[in-house]
Amino acid sequence: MDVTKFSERADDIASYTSRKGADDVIVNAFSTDSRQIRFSESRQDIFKRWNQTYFHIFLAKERRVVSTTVKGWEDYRRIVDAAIRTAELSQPSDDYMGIASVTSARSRRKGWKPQSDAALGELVTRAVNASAENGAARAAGTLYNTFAEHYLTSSAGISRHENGSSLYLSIRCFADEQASGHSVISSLSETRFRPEKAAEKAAGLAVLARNPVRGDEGRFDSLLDPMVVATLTSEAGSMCSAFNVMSGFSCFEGKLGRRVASEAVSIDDDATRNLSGKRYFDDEGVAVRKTALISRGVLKHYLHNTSTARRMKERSTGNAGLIAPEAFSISMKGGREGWREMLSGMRDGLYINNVWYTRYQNRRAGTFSTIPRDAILRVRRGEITGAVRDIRVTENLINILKHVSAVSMEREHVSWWLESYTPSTVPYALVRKVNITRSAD
Amino acid sequence: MRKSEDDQEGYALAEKAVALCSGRGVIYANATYRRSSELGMFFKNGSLSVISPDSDAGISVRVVTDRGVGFASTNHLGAGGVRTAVSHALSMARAGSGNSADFAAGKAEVAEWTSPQKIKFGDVDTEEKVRRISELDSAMSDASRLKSFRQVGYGETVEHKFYADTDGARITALDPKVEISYFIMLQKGGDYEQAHRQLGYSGGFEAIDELKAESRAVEEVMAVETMLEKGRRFVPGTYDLVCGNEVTGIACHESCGHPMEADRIMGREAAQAGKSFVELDSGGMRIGSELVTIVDDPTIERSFGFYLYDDEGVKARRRTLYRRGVVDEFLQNRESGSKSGSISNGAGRAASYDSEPLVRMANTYLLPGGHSDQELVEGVKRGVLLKSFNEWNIDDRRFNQKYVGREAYLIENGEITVPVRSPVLEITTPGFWSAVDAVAKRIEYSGGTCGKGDPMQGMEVDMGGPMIRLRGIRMKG
Repeated sequence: MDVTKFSERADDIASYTSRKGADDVIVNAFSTDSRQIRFSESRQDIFKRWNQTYFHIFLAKERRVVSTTVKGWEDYRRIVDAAIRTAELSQPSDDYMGIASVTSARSRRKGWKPQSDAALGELVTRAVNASAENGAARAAGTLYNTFAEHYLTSSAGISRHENGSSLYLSIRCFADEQASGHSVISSLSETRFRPEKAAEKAAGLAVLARNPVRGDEGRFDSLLDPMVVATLTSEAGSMCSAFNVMSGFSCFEGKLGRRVASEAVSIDDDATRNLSGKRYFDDEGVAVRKTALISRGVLKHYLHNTSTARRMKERSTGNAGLIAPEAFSISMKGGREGWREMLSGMRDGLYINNVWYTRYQNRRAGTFSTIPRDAILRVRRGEITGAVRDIRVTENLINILKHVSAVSMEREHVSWWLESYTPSTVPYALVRKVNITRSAD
Repeated sequence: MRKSEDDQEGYALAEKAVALCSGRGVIYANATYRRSSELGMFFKNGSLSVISPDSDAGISVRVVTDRGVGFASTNHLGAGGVRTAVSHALSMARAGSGNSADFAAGKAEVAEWTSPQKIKFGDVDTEEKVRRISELDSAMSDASRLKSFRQVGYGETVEHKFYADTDGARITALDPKVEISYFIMLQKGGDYEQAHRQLGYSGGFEAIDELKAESRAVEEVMAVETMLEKGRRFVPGTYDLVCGNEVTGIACHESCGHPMEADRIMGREAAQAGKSFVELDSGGMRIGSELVTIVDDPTIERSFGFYLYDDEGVKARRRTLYRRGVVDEFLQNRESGSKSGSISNGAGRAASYDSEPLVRMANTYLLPGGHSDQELVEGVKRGVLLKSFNEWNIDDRRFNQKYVGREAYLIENGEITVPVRSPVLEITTPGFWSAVDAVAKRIEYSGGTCGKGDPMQGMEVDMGGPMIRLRGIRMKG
């Protein structure tokens, strides 16, 4: 791709949109070359590739906010004209307070050499072989290799460029029909990417999960795998979005400076780290930075773009989302104990590998349930004594965070499908008295 | 069907892609061109946060060889972009380690289909659309004296689709859809209750009236207020349970539609949306009572999940999933059909040009019985009416599910008496369907966006059915 042509076109679109009467304009241009291999039953199902170029336009005219997209290299004038007309027929937004005009972000670009299709196929083969060597009968999952160019230009005078590539593997291993384990791994470096590591962990858990029996209801001390913790931190990050707070749909509303978790819980949003989810600037061009969300159990900050920050008399945290700010890459502080030590100190409880289908009865109160899947291991006197199935975690987000009694020194960088939707570097967490329910007899 | 110059060019590019794939060791190949025009708007607490006139277009190419399946998509619409996509798809299809699916689907169809728009989106100006959705929001705000927090979304899409494959199928479609969603939170002191609803429609702007969005939303707000003001704590125990239409619908979708997807049964979704408690050889397995017949039917005009040919060129038809309580027919696309020794029954759907077609539901619902809604209630001495739900989930084998009441009432001696807050139904799939002892006549549907695949594809579906009665159900509080 011709990067100069790409960025010049984004500049042209922004200039044209301003000339047509927009007060504020931001163009986020993306050109991607991504590949994916999906596999199941230890065999490759499909190999996909996407080559796409999009120019996302955000404009405000007399506080009427419009978003639209120019695809590929089509004529942008007709699309911008329509967007301006839409603004003129629209209503002003009570929330819109402008866009960023200064940034400390720098442009960063590096070279990228795509791997061959065969090399990506080999990564899947290595993962599947490792799963079999570690006791799995079958494996399913996804390998991604993504590359993206991102250029941002705004009417406030910010223009920045970044690019990056990553590798990601999600693998779920089955020892038998109802015994599975799941793990993910990602890297920005092709040479440091080890798919076997995730496969070994998922297969090992699958083997431990053999012959599960129906779980009991009650309150159980539970050692949560990083897959589960990342789901909770993704939810916490979403609840910290100032947009959700101002909407009235966050259980963290009105709780700044108050305890929302135990002392063991410290969570930051920090996309500056060299991990998948890394970025240099947000969707307004503001430099991303480390923002403490929860520090030793106390809620410290909401996440802001320029509009939400001005509304709440704060400063942008570099988390735009042009309408709603969002967490980009969460980091939860680790502890001093190894997770195996934590497990060996458990008297009677559960180890939960993964959860899915997290849904709220009441977002404001934080009441939700989520369903453990993959290895749910019974722990007695510090030993794994068997596996269970058919249980549900029925909890409250603040309550479960307040009952975290310890976190491990080991951390994993996790993102998975719809659950841990924000990449999160998280430890294992020991949570006291997790409420476990199940279907009626 | 009128084709724009852009579309004619897109169709020609799809034809070119299929021609480029012919021969070369290809068992089957298809190309899909799709172009969509959209308008979205989102209101937060009465203020229009953003309005989005948008469009998208692109082509995908899927190639099947004896080594594997390759899928490439691009929005670089030109001969060069298509040649590159074909080249990538061929390369990837040949990079596999073996493939057993031939993707055959029988007769190659040549057809056109559309959903008529009584009021075309282009005939209503943007100002009017903003006004109507703003009025819906205001009506919700005015419906309760309690403080409310609201999010209201509107989306309209017209998608032009063209499908061509090496078997000779050629399907042209014009697919207009409308989606309205609202999320409300009411506050009474330190106490809160929420409601969320999604409504969907295939057709034009008449959807606003046809869906009765405003009156439904107002009723919803009033029900939430009733729960906050008058709702009693629910006492757990064993009750007869009457499920409202919305609860019947979600149960049909989650514990019948999903487990009957053949790709899921064969493990294709194992690392994402999960597997199924049903096996390919489970035909005849009893799941529910004789009163339980659940179908999935894409051919219902105006429904959110409407289509006449799927996104793999296969003619759509109604599928009976559970017939009189037993497993009957799986949902199949070309891949799952050929892998399982069956054939596609028109359930292959892709959310966009850059998505592979997966096995998907369309409109899943329980067939009606012979009772009035009132008769179901009259037959209960001590029970619960679970009219609607907030929290719900189901495990990834589709066996253990949970629905927590949003609007719920006690039933005493055949009459609906007091509102109760958040009764919990946590039950297995056979436990739920085998307890059904009466089915009402009147059907209602709710819209939904069903999630599956990787990257996740949100798919428009309806789910519904009549009210049903279940005997002797353990309810939690």
